[in-house]
Amino acid sequence: MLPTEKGYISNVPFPYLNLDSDLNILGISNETMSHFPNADNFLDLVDLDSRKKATKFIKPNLQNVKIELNMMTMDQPITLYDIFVQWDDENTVNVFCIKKQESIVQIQEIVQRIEDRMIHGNLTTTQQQEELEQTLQKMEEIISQQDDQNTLSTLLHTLATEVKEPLSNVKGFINLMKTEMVDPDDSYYAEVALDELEKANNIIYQFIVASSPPEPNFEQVSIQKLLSQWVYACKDEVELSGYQIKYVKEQILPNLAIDTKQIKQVLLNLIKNSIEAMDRSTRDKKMGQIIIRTRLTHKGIQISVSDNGIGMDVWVKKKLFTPFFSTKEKGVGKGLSVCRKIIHNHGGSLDVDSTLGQGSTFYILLPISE
Amino acid sequence: MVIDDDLKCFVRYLLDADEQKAWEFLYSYIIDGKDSLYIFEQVLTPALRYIGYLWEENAISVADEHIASSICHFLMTKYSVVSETGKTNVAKDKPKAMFTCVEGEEHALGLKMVAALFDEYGWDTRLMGSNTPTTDIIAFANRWRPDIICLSLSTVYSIPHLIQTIKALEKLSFNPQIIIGGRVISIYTLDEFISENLKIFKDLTSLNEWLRTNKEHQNKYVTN
Repeated sequence: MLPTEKGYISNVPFPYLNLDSDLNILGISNETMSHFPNADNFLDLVDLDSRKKATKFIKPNLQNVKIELNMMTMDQPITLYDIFVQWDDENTVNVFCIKKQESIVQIQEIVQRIEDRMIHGNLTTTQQQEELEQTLQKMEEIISQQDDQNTLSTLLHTLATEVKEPLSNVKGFINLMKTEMVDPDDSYYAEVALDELEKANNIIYQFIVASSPPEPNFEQVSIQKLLSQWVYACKDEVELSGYQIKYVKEQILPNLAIDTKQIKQVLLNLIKNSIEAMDRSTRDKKMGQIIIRTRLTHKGIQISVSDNGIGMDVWVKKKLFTPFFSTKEKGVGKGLSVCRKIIHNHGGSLDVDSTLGQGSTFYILLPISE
Repeated sequence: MVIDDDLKCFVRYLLDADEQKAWEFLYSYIIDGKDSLYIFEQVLTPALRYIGYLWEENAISVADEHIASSICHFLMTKYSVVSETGKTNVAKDKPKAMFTCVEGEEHALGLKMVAALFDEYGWDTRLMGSNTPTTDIIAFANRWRPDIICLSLSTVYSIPHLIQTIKALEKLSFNPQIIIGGRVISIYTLDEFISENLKIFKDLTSLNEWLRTNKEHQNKYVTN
């Protein structure tokens, strides 16, 4: 680019270019060099997306045109300019470039800042919402466990012991009365009453056990051996219902100190639940299977019991370990809460993962003793 | 460029910054039962293109364009509330996608539409907005660990930043899928950059189709 020969115009305080009809640069004002990079053709200084507009409006038949163009500049990739076009004749054209007023740029920046802040604000709110929801969930978990396990079990324990005492008294009195009864029919009623009392006693005993299973009686066992045996023992019952059960050994595991009886009770409970879940599934019975797996994790040994039964929705999942919660028509709803208690007494955890319509997996985690 | 008269009215409302009328216009489509894809692809996008065309025709200024685009931002936000495509809750097991313009890129409207589509298909989304420095993109991605990272660019000048960002993203340990879209993509071919973890979508329709089929295998993207 060379300075224009039009001496009076070479010192204008803005970029000025003198072009031929093909927009080749013939001459420029001194100021031009401090705005635009060196070029032979005016179009080389125009932003790619503005070139179409430039060629359309810089034409000899259009006199005194003012257009906005994005220009390639020295300091920024593209900057908006007002371009004033004036043709001397059909062969030469004068182009004056005035940078868009700073105020417009400022307004654009303000608008941009507000938009960015809105987006950022949105992002922050979403994150806070996420954190809050997580905290809420944790609180719910804690509350439901505390509430269900502690308050309810204490209450039950007190209730059961208190009811048990008068019941024993009644039992004793009926026994006494029995000897006094002469009519054999009367004696029969007494027997019935005693039987019923016995049942009531049993239920109460079970509730006491439910709220606090006995302290585990630890012994060192091979969990794989225990599982193999137990799966073998349960096989008949599972197959009788029309399903498959298998134990998939994945790695060799260290021995564990557990109460075999209690762990077997937990497994039996889970297997029974699985059978019932599969009974309720709409899937073809032949497809139903229970898979037991063991895995060594950094926290201990994980035993998983998976079925492809009916699964659970979120609500059921949440209430699952609550004593006396049951989805079964005849169930009392003690099973899983006792299971969890047993596993807790072993220092482990019992959790569930389930999708409605697809099945459930229970995870027993037993810590490895030092 | 030819658009129908209805849409020309809508463009007029945008240029006049008449939020109320512009919203009423958009709302008539919602009542009509048109989905987001239709509203974005058949109403907003052609209106914005037409505004670009008006500038090329020297009929309006860049300042007018800015006003129209800010009205569009407003409409998009209002639309996401009304159509309930916006987040209602942050579920743990939703697949995650983050959206950002690369450094130097100021046009975030298209990205907003893309994020809205992901929202609609049940993704957990985070919109980072325009002109985000690569270091910030990486920092957020590392913290949030999205399954997908969408990058948008509409000017050619952002391509160097795009390449720089892609290189940095490909080093992320959790291997997110990278998706690129934007006006430049629909004009230029960037096939040479395509790698296994990188997808390019030229328009919302093809993205929507991908999201639809992806939904069926969505479990694949659920993080553990």
